[in-house]
Amino acid sequence: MRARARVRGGRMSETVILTRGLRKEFSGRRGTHVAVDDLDLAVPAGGVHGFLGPNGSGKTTTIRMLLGLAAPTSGSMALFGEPVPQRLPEVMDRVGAVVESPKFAPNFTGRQNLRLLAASVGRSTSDVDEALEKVGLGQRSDDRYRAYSLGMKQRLAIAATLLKKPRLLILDEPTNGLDPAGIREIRDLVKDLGASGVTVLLSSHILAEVQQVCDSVTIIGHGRLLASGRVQELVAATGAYRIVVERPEDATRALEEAGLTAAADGDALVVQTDRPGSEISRVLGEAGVWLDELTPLRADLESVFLDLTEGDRMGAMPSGEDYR
Amino acid sequence: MKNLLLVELTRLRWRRAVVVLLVACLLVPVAICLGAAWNTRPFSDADVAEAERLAQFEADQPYIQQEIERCQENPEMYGGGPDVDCVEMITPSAANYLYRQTLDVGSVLDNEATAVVSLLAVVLLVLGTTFVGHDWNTGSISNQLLFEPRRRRVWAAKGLAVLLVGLVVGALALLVFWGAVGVLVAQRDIAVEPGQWAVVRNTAARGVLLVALSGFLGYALTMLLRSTVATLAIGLGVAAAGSIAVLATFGEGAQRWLLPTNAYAVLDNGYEYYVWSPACDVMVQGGTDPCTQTISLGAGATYLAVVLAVVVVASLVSFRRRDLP
Repeated sequence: MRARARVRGGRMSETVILTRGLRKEFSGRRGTHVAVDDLDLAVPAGGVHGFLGPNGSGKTTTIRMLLGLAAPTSGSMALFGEPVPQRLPEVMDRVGAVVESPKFAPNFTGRQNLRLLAASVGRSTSDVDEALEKVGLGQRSDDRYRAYSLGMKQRLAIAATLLKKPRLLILDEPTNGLDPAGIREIRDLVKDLGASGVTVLLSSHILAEVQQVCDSVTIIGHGRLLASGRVQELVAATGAYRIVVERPEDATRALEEAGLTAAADGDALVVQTDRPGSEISRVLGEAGVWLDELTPLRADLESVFLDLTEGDRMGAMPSGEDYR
Repeated sequence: MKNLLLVELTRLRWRRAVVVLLVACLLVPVAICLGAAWNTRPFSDADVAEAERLAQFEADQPYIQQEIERCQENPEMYGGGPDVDCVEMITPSAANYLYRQTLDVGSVLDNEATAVVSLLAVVLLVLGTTFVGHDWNTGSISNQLLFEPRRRRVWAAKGLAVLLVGLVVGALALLVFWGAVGVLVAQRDIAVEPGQWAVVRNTAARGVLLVALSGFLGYALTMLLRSTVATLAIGLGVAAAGSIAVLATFGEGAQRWLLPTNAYAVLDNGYEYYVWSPACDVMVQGGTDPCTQTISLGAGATYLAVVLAVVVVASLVSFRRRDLP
């Protein structure tokens, strides 16, 4: 069944992307595969929204349906409050997108590729030059696309999205295959765009990327919505504190007498409690033990994600903290 | 729509493969015309001198003299009466060594012009195919749809661009060809039958249409199959292997339903073909020949229109409904 045109309810004026009960099935010789299953997605206006899920979780399929490249089996979608794909032509001039890998004619130069796209929406060659400069391709714009590095191809794809001066930017795994410097460039660009008022939907399987760049996030697995909200809320306090004191044995005793559990963690103690941090400070103060450090422990996005997906395999993680 | 059409015409112009094929479109008629000019060139003084030398050499052979004597002794054996001139009849002349077709507009129309249109149609089929096949191979078609999501418009703009290029290039190529033939005819002072140039004009106009539609058909098929290779395989299959297989299976009568014969009927204002039946062995006194059948211009055009319509509708519906890579 095709998607119904109208999306009911929701805060249409504040929600740039909205899906309700979105489903996509692929039929093949081995039967029917459900790529997206009853997905409700809401992306608020402004900032960078992460779209997180393991490889094969349905992120790209969802994006392709939103952009009219694939038809949903059922459910409804809206961009800027307009039902899509029915009214896609009316909203598409506000939407820039890079879906999967950049796709351009390899024998044309970067500039030629952009000129063709710009001309199709009535943009001028000065818009092309501006977009190329913005992504740092001005010097190499007259080289053939096939001679570009993967990073340059990604930047050209982003330049293409900027031609429309979009209010919504959808980037599907934009840092795939890039070297650390390239990843940093793209992330900085995404942050800048988000800060400039453009709503960015950043699809990624890299948790650190989403945590660093995004304000809010939607997590999906097996095509289903697992969690959605602000990143800071999802990685909220876990009910544990890390404390550093001069006399850990006295501190442990005082905390246990007050009904709290403390365990050694190197030179520090980890205190499990639902009570606020000030309670720990009060208990230790009354026992004459003074705090050097008290830090609420937060789950990182990886822990949240693994808890939600219960063992779904993640894609390759960048090593260490080197991309911060 | 105008923007999109201009974009597609620019894309065509920028594609190197397309430019090479367009150059080929102009070289094909030039090459064929040069071939026709060479094969029908007037005899030079050197040609005549060489022919006279060969004739004299032959005449000097003893067996010629013996043959003349035998003829004079028994002229009936040589198909002549008693007053036959055996010397003239048997002695080789220079004319025997000067055999070459002269340029004839009717013959050019039937042979070289048909070859030109056939080759142009193949080149345009490849052009229409490779133009859009490249979009599918690189995946840039989906990128284009991110800028213009109205698929019907995108399909139409690309198709119209191919059709326009086909019309212009076909017209230009046939103008070059017939212009060159006209120059040759004038230069050699060859007589042309009254109304012959009008036939040429009408045939060339139908040829231009066939060439353009061939490109459009290649385009529409590739949009349907999403593969240059698949389209070319089908094109080759239908034109060659398919025709052979159909004729081998269903006999000569199946020519009515072959794409090449119907295309030829449109180009040449009808196509006659022979179908054997027992009636062929009986001498027909008057009336129509029972063994020769004709595909008229109208029947051929109808056949081509139906084929084109089926492919275009399937291509358009498929492009509008199917998911893109």
